[in-house]
Amino acid sequence: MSERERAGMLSRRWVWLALAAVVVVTVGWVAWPSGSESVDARAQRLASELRCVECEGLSVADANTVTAEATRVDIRERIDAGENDAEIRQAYIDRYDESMLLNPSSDGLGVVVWALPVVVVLVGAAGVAYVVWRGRRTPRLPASLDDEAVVALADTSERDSVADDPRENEREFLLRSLADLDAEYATGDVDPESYATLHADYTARTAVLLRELDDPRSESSTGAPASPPPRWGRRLLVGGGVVGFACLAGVVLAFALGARLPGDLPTGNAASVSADEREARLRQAVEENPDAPTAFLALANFLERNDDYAGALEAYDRAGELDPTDPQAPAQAGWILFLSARGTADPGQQDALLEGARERLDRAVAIDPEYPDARFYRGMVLLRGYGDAAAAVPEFQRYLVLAPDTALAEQVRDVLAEAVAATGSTVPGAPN
Amino acid sequence: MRGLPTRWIALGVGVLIVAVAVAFATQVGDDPTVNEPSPLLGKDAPDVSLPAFDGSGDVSLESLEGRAVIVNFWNSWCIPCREEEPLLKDFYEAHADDPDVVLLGILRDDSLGTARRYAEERDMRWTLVDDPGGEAALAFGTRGQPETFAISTDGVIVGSQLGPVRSVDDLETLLAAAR
Repeated sequence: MSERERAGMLSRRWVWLALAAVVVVTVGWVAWPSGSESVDARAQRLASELRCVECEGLSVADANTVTAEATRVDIRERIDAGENDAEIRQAYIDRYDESMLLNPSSDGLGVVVWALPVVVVLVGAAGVAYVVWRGRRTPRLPASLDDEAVVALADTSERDSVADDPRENEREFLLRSLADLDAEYATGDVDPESYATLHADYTARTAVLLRELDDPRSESSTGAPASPPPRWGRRLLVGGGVVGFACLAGVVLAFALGARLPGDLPTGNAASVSADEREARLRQAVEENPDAPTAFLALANFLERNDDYAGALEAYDRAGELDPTDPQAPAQAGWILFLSARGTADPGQQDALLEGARERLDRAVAIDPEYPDARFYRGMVLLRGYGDAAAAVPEFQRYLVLAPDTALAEQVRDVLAEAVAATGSTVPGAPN
Repeated sequence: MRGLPTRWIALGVGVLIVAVAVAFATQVGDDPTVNEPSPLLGKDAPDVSLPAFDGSGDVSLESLEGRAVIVNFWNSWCIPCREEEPLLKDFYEAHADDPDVVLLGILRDDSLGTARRYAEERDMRWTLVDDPGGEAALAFGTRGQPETFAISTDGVIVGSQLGPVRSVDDLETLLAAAR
């Protein structure tokens, strides 16, 4: 081996080592725990690992059901009691089973989920290593004068008629490689020593192949393998390497962006904004745009989702004043008042809340009789608030005509059936 | 023959990928919590103490030990609960004079005022308690309502029913396990 080759090999080795160091440092940097975790953050993290049992695809951290709220309280109490994460998770597994965990379990089929990326990365890395090792191990062949003559006389044109013979592809590849090598040498990209070695090797291999193609029974004059090197295995290994690298990049990216929780965007760009920050931004938008109904609507929607019904009601009412043509604001305000009425034990207060709900829902329906939500809400107020099933039935029917395929439609069908049953099993206006 | 091993490897990888895909595909939509018995079966019933509807104070499960207890999670707005309510009434009336049997209705995810009125309208005379913070619903590992548990005389959960019971016999079966 010449000094130049040795130097080239050393420099390549340094490049590989540098690449490996970059990967190790990057993974270590993003995966290493950063600082101590506050109790609130720990409770939030654990809540985000548990499934809301009454919801579809929501975590306990994201759900507003009674049991989700109770779970959050329970997690906090367990943390205060000194339980570690595994003990807290186990408490829920004991109560609900493994399906309570949003992350896949580490046994059964769950093993595949955890192990597959690791296996793919290892196989990919092994593939890359094998290809590199094999390339280095393959001996360079010397070329005889006869070989040079055979290659010089070779037909360099593509032969479509025999394109299905894999050796034809190999022939074209080798001839093209020789031409490329000559071109690189001509432009000074390859030093004379490397050129001589590679040219002899390519020539010898091409000559072997050309003789084989002319006479399949002939033996190699150079002692080289008589058949072309297997390409499927190589392709498979290279493909594995590419897939492995992609998986590694994915893992690093996932670490860098943080865990994807239910409701987060795949890019993770929504996860960094806390609920407090969102509320502050929405309130700022309202202050900066005091005449914009959409700003109030956005704030009201947010507050309603976060159980601040009083704040949401105020914002909906303001949005309704600013845009008297939009049915959404009075409809949502009416629904909030109805829910508040159901949660109130004082009959006098309940009546007042129901009246407020009905007034707003009547207004919403007057603004847009085709707005389905207002129809459903008004039906519920009539049925559950006033016990007037006969009046509620056409509201539910109207909803189903306007929005037959929504997620709510099934529930509306149920309450419609209940209302119909309460009226004496006949639908008003329907033939008997 | 030289290409054969790599082809076999490729085939093996392909088969493996298909097998994993099939394994996961068969799990889609398969909610493991449906129709599964409660993991609490055979374990001690949680020690919860809840305020009675009638304002007579708290009712604790511990205080009911020595009696067979049927615990029913319910609320006023759930339609299956409404369907189940006549069966509970029949069951209650059949055992109203039996001091060793308790039917305990725990309110789940509902306002007390509404549920209390509903219970009065329906003449639900068995023991009804509120669960204001959802503590009992969580402690029993409930997944919704209605959900019914049987607690033996020594305080162990011996039966459970997710969703409405379909007949009084279902309740009698739970009671038989609890006695």
